[in-house]
Amino acid sequence: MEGLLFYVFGGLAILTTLFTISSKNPVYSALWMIGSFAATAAVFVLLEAFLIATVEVLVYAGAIMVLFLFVIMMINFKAEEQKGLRLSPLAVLVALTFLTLFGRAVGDLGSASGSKPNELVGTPGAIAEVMFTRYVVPFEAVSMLLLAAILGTVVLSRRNSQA
Amino acid sequence: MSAQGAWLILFLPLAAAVAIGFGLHRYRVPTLIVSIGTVLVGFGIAAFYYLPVLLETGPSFMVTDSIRWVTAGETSFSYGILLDGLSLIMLMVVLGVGGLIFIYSLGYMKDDEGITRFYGCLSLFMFSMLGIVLSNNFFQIFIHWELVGVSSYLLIGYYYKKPAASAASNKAFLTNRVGDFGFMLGILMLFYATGTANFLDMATVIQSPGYLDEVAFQVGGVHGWTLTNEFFLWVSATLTLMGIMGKSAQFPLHVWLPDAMEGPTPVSALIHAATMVAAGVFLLARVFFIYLPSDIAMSIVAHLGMFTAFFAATIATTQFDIKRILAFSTLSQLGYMVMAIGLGSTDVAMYHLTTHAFFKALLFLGAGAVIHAVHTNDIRQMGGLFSRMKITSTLFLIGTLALCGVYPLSGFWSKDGILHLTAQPPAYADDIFIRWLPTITAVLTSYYMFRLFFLTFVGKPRYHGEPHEAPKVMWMPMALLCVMAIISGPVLFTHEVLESFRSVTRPMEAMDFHHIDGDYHTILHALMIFVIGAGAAFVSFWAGWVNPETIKKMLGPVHRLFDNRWYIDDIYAWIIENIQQNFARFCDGFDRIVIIGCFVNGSAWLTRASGAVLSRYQTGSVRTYALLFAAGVAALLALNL
Amino acid sequence: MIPLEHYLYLSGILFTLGLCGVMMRRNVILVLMSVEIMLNAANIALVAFSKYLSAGAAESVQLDGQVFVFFTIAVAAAEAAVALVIAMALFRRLDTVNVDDVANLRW
Repeated sequence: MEGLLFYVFGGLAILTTLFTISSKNPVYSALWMIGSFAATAAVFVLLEAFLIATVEVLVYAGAIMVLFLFVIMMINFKAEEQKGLRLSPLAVLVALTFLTLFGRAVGDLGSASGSKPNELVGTPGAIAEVMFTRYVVPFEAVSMLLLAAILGTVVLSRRNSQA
Repeated sequence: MSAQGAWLILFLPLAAAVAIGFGLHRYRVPTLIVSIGTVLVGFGIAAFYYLPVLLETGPSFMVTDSIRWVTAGETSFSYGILLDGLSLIMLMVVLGVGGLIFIYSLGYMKDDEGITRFYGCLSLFMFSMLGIVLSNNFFQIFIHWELVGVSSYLLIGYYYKKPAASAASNKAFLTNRVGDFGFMLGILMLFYATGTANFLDMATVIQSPGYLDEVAFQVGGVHGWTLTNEFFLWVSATLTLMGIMGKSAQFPLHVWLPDAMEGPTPVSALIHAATMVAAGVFLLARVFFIYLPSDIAMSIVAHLGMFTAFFAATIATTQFDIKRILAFSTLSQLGYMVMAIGLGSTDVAMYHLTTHAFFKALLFLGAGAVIHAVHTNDIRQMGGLFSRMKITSTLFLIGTLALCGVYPLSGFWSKDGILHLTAQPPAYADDIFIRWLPTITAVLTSYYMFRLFFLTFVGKPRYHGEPHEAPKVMWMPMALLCVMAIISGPVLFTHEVLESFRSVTRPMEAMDFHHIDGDYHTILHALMIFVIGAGAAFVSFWAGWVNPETIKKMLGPVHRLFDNRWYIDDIYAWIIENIQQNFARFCDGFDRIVIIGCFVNGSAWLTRASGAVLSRYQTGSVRTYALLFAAGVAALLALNL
Repeated sequence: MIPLEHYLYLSGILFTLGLCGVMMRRNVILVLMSVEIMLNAANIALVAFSKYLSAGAAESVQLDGQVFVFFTIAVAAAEAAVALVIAMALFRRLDTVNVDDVANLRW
């Protein structure tokens, strides 16, 4: 049952991502991408990372994609910009090479790949305990990064900032 | 004996030079007092403090002192005093003749604006020279050797506005550098082989039994070359001889001395007759112990001196510049001294050095008085000066006779001591040249000196203007020198004093001293030489029985060879013009093409070219960058698999 | 039970798709979306490693992967916000969102 669910959601994720990158209309891309994130969230649930799954839906599918949609709406795309994938042989070659090498790398994991999954459950309490003890400094650093991003966004979006 | 007096002698002139250099030169009289005073004080110390002790104790006289100067690990270099009979006599010559020349210069340079500069340089020279005389180790002597080179450079180029003078000072300096390079290598080799630079220690090491057969150096392991100390020693001795060739103007590094006559005449007398050029001979006597163990080195020294003596005398017969004739004569006499040392007799060499310093300084000062009077150096524009300058002429004649070795003047005793050596040369130098050339040279000496005398002082006057006798301040030192030239025979230099001319560093088994007895046979021999030489000059330049031009024509190419100084200068010029210039051109081309062209400009070109190629990949297209980035990640993955 | 490799294959496929999007789309918005996809693919790998590779380790270490994902999401959010503003500024200034038209930054 669990295996079946993984392949279903994994397949869904791949499919929606494929649509995302190939849709001619950016709005469709964004919508497909929400689907992709939802499928990924389901995979996280299968990995018992419940908090991550929740955040994935809330932040990615919710906040970030809404942001994308806003921007897409604000920009008037011309007709010639609404094109799908421009298949360049070199890019395809690079992508396939990367995938092959990645597959071989995974195959080479060896004994580590045979290990059983642990019993851990990614509940908010468990993650909070690690994040606010061991990772408190990086956490604060990330908060500073977000603050900087907010400031940068404000500065960049001012109309007279071209000067 | 305390060494404080020696320190005082050495550093007083330096103090004077420093004082003059740092401001005293603005005041004429104090400069002259300080400069001359330091030399006279030094002479006083040497003459009244040390000399009586020397006369009392004889050859065992020695005063030493040493200050550790630089310490590097286990090696330390010292700056010290080694005052024995050899250096004390040299000290007396340098200070005595020097002092007289200092006084003479008062008259000669009276009207010169730079007289204070002149005396500053003289004091510096005096310090440098005294350092050579009093040194107790090779490094110290080398430092003073170079200092002497610098001060002689300053003095030769004293009339620096005259192009010939600055060219001559450059020539002197550069020629000495060539010799000093060999000298330095020799010093370093000796230091390597004996482990010390101190003369006394080095002599002890070299004379220790079995030292000469020890291995000094091995090249290429067991089957390679094995160099014994004996071999090492004669190579380093020959290299050291190069320094002596430079300073004492021995063939083939003699070329600077005739040109150095561009300097003021007192300088020619002081540096290029009495003291500096004698430094080489002094050094040979001082480090005699490194030559003595090897017959090869001794033979080289003897033949070098012999050839220089003959070679310079032949050139002197054809010159017309009064100072140049004296310069070549100096070369020739220095050759005699070097030869005497090569024949194993430092005492005779030093004796000749001393007497030569007196009469050659006298001759130079006389020449200076003549030049002062007629304002030219060319003896063809003199003649008949005897009636105008009676004192100078008489003194000059006595100096000439002394140089020619006429009994009983000093030159007879010293020069015939050397000729006596050549009559029975040691086995390593026993050949026809050593036996006969010095005697022929003596004949030539009489010939060219009387040619000079006749052309200058007798015959028809060819001068311009109204020449007058030299002032008292000029002829008084000459008269003193003349007295010395007369009496420095056996009257002044008894057997005991001559004994002390032997360096303390001289080994015990050195040859016996050849004392000149002044017997009937020797006097006749010397007189015969004099009569042949002077007679030849008489018949062609005074009496006019033989026209010199016919002799010139008769001799033909030989005369041309002598007249052009054996073409040595031309050979050097050719070497410099062709070989050295071509080599310089090659270096220049190498620099331009390989260094600048390939390395400097090449690397710049490489940077530019690679930039030009690589900048094509900077398209500005984000997608290309992304592609290259992905390819890079794939490559990294591939590397790790 | 699903082996670890399968999660990783899924992650790799999604990552490659995102890479293709970056390399082959000309719309700057789509390029940014593809970057988000790549980050998301990395997140899957991190969570999978956290579940499988840290068996037997201390509890706090086992959750490291998931904490990292948190940070990734935060960084992705910041990046998206700034990048989108840049895209808007670009559009306002050059009237285009085609990355091929923005190739001024070169020699």
